[in-house]
Amino acid sequence: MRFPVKTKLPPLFQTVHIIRDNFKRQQFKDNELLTKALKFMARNTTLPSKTRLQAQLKLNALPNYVHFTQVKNRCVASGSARHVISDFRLCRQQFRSKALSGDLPGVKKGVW
Amino acid sequence: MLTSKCSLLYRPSVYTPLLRLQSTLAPPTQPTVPVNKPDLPINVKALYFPPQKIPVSHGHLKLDIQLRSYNTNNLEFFTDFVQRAAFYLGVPMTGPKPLPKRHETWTVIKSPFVHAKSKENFERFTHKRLLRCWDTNDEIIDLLLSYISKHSIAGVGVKCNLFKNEPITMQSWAHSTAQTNNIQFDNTSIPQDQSENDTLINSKIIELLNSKEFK
Amino acid sequence: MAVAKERLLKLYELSAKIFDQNFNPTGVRTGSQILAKRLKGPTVANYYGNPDWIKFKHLSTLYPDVQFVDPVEQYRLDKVAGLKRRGKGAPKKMKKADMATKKGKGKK
Repeated sequence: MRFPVKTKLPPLFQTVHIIRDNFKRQQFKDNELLTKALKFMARNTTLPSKTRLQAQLKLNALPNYVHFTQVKNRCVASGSARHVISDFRLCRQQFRSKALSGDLPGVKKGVW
Repeated sequence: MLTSKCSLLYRPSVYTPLLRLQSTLAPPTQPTVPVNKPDLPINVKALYFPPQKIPVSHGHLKLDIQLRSYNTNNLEFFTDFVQRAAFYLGVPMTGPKPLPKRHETWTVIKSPFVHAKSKENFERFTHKRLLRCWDTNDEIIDLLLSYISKHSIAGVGVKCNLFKNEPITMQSWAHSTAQTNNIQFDNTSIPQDQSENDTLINSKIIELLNSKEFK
Repeated sequence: MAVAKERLLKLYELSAKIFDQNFNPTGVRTGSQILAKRLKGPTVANYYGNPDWIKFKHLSTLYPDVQFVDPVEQYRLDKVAGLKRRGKGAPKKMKKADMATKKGKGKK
């Protein structure tokens, strides 16, 4: 199953990849406290070793979509994952077209 | 018929093109107080002069207001507004101190596909102004901030640093000194912090530690 | 004049208490680094915007007296109508009896 948990769809442009990435982001947010707590328990040497081991095992057993490493920045307007400018969440083409049409406040053609 | 009062409203718009070499033109003349209206209220009269300031007496820093914009016109206008608001609220304010402007650049490939050698540059300047408030009541500071946020204008961001003095509470001391080696995990075995996120994590950890799996 | 190490440690402990810091002279791994980092879940999840953002279909329920036109949907409808006018629209649905005969023909 690709989407074991029901999540809301992103409001703007949608592609399969965006929906998939959005799912991972929502899952990361929902499970962040749990992963952090387990990680803390596993790394804390003052806790009994049995507890630490158990915590580490539980952390490993979690599905991979709860981890931040699975999240990838994508272009909000086109869904492309390459050359995404994170200040605007846009890929280079969308950024250029929007900047030239004046949709990005303050961005001008650079001369230096 | 139009009366003299409405003549301001119905003034035809005049096209004034922006000239490239404005520095070569005559400098803008300082607006003067209209002499024919002597009964202007003093606060309206004050608009014809730079904003007044209340001198700092004690030097207790209470608030940093940082205004940011991509456009200096709006920024200058809003800093002027904030200064006037602070003056009439009786807040000693220093500034505006121009902070170093932030210069961001992006270089992207011009074409949507291949031809990676022809690129295009884009840039953005963020101008900043710092205003600092001193020696004021917390309530007046709140009032000033809410007034600013109510009358904020488009294209100017406001960032505030509030400074508050707090006594050292004895409660947190008692917590850390009462550390025991109990097997029953409770709040004392976990580092204490005031922020909300930390308490959330702490409660989650305690919940996990006390759950059946970890016993 | 040298200061005893114990006294210095006491001093550090006290300062840590006052300024709400962790005091860990032996460098034991307590996992405090993990707790010190702030939660980034909300910002990560909001990357594509608020999922509850108002959609076109909700406009009519919010403002029942105003008629809204969805340009994209209107374009599609116009196109379909144009095709139908030129006799290039979608074929009519077959009735059950027709379907049976067609199936029979196919088998022969």
